[in-house]
Amino acid sequence: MSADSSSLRHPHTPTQPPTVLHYLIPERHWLALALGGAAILMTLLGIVIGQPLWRAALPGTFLFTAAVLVRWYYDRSTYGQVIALMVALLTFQGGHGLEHLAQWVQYHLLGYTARASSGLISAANSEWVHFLWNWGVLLVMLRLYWLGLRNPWAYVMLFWSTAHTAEHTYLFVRHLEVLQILKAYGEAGVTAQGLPGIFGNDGWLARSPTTAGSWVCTIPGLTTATRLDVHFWWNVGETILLMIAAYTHIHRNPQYNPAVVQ
Amino acid sequence: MPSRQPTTKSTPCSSKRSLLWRSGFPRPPILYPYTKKTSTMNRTQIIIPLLAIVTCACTSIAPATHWSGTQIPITMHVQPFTASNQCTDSFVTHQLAHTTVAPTPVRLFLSNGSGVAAGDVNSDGLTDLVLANIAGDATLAVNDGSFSFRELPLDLPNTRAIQIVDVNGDGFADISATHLGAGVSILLNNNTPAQPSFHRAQIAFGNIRAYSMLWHDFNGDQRLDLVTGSYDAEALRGGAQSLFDTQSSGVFIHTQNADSSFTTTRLSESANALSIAALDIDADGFDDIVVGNDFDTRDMVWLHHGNLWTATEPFESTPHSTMSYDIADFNHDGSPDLLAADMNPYATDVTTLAQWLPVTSRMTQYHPADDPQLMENAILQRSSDLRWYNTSRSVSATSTGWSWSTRFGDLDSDGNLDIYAVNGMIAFDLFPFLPDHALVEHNQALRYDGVRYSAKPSWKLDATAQGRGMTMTDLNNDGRLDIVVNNLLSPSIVYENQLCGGSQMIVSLHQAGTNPSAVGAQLRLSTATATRWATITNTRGYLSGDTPTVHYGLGTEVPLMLTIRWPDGLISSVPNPPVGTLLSIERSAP
Repeated sequence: MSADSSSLRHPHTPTQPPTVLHYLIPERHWLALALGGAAILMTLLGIVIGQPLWRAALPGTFLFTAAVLVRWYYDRSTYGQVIALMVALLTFQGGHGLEHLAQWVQYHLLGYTARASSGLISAANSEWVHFLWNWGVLLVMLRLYWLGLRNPWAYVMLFWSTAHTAEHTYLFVRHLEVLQILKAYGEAGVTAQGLPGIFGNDGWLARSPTTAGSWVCTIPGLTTATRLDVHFWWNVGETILLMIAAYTHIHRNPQYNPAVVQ
Repeated sequence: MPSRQPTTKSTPCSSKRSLLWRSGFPRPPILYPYTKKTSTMNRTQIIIPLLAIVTCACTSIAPATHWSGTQIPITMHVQPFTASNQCTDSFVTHQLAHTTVAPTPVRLFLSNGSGVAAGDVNSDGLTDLVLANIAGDATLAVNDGSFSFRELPLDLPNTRAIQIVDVNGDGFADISATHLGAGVSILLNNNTPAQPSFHRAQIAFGNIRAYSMLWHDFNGDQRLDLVTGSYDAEALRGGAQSLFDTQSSGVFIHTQNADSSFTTTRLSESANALSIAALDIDADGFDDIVVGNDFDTRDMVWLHHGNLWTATEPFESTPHSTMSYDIADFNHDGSPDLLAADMNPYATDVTTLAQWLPVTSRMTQYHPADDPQLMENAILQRSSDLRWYNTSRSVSATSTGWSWSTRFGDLDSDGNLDIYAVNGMIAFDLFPFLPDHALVEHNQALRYDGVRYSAKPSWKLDATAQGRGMTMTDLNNDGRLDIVVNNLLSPSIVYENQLCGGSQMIVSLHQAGTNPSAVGAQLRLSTATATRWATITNTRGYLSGDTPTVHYGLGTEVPLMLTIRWPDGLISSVPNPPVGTLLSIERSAP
């Protein structure tokens, strides 16, 4: 026996059944759009006037954040917390994906060394940026789970982001340890970013005494790729999983999809 | 329009796919031709080629080719190895008196130390040693047997690379060396076996600066030619930028003429050449020149076509700072493989990384899109498209520390080529923050099991003595490879091989003329399961020299045929060569 879907709809849900695209791309929210556009322009302007990449990208990042917050505020009152948080996370994740795309372009196309391919704002301090970012993603995912984002893809995403955060925690701890040793050496000016993590060709899995000489050291990609490529794919996976999880949530939820019957 | 085939059509990789399905992957539905599902074609066009690339890539290495040419008869002398005294499954250390010195605190480039060479200078059948010295005289260590050496100073000051090689073809081993900030000198053997002595040869190579060198017969005229490479980073640091100095830099080939004079050809105007090798890059039967350069300077390759040398870049990837070359056939496909060593920490603990970071962070910040340089060891294999592809990652051999001399050698005689790398760095301008300005590392012995390399600390080759030059040779005629390391600021070490098991064969070649050891000859040893390629060379590793012999570890394999391609292209064959022997093969004239 199917329930009347209109009774389950959020009070502010538009009359026309929305699509995922409708949620993701703001059409009428000029403020968010303007902030986003200004973010891009400010970044370009910073580059043109010769600012370091991370400093040029910083105002743009703030504006981008403001745009997402504006959108989140609107979505929260219109569609509820889950949708608002999902959209915000997905938008931020997309922005973070740009960061990794920039790294990928710097390394593979522009010919920077792996150490110098630090993306846009990560050039300030890649380890801090990624440590904070990934813990942020994980906490938001846990909050989403708490709020009701529960489908198989969301669970996979939760696992994925936990693993990703674990690697960045490992990287961050080693970053701090190396900095401490460098300080003791009197080499405090040396950056300790870009150290090998768990995966990749110089990672723990490939170089640990435990796995030395075993097949684990030569798993294509997992223990043979550079750190930069490993983390590019970490983020591609995270973005895709989040998109599928969000899509599944919206289309399985009668609140947003009238075609769903109880 | 090509007809569509069902996905069940047999393909080269269908067996692999079946394996996938058996292991739990859902079997895709069988889709017959002309169904409307385009996914049928997608699978065929995408998945199968991908699987083919992944699973069949390893088979694209060029297969061994058979040498053809005029056969030339040989005479063979077989000398059984002496029985090993000990079997402790490890190496035993013997210390020499020779110490390569440098003014302290050691500054950059003096830190690079010197080489060591092996050869029989007094024709007594035992391999002697010559140890170079960057800030002192070189030492001749005459092998009196039982790992006892008489050490004699040589009139060779401030030497870098060193080799024992019969330069004038009189049948007696001479000594050739490069000098700090200078060129090449040669000590000719006076043939006084009881007390070896030498006199300096008056051979002009022009105003060249040489750091590394290679003696080789490139044109098959039975005379040894010389290739030298400068190390411009050191020269520039010393302020050597005058016109004279600029003209003395680069890579040169000095072709020996019939009157023993040399004709010099400049191949490049600059170089940071730490190692030089002769290798048939394009499989045309002629050895080409490969120069391994330090820093951003890319490795250089010149193909040999008649009297012309053509520069090319055949390597998929190379080390960033190529420290050492060695050539052998580590995968037993009958073709040469090139081991190129680089600096890359073998451990990734935080202490090691912190020691390396101040140096690596000062290295180049830019690499062009076509730059093949990676900061790790490379094992390059020639493919059927004549490109050379790096397999070091797939066999876990990318990282051996701040490696200097790095060599292939079947240390345990099991039939697989192991790797030994000596390493460490000491320079106050690089490591002012470390005690004694020294990056202390364990030398790395990597055993190959036929699939991948793994460290073997139980062999007791993991000294921390700042090794630079290194050679592997049989010092007691028991068939096992012993090791000699020329350390910087500490006594040189001889490692006696007391590993157990396995079987060996050593081959030496002899011919008339001024290349009596047949340097440049190539050998293929066939067993029931594999073909091992090898070459006769005096130059292997970093600044170091080797006896002009080939050592085969065979494990339990039985050799069926040994084929020799002499430097002039003539062929000789030895059926069923005996294991456990030193095989001296002499070619009939011409």
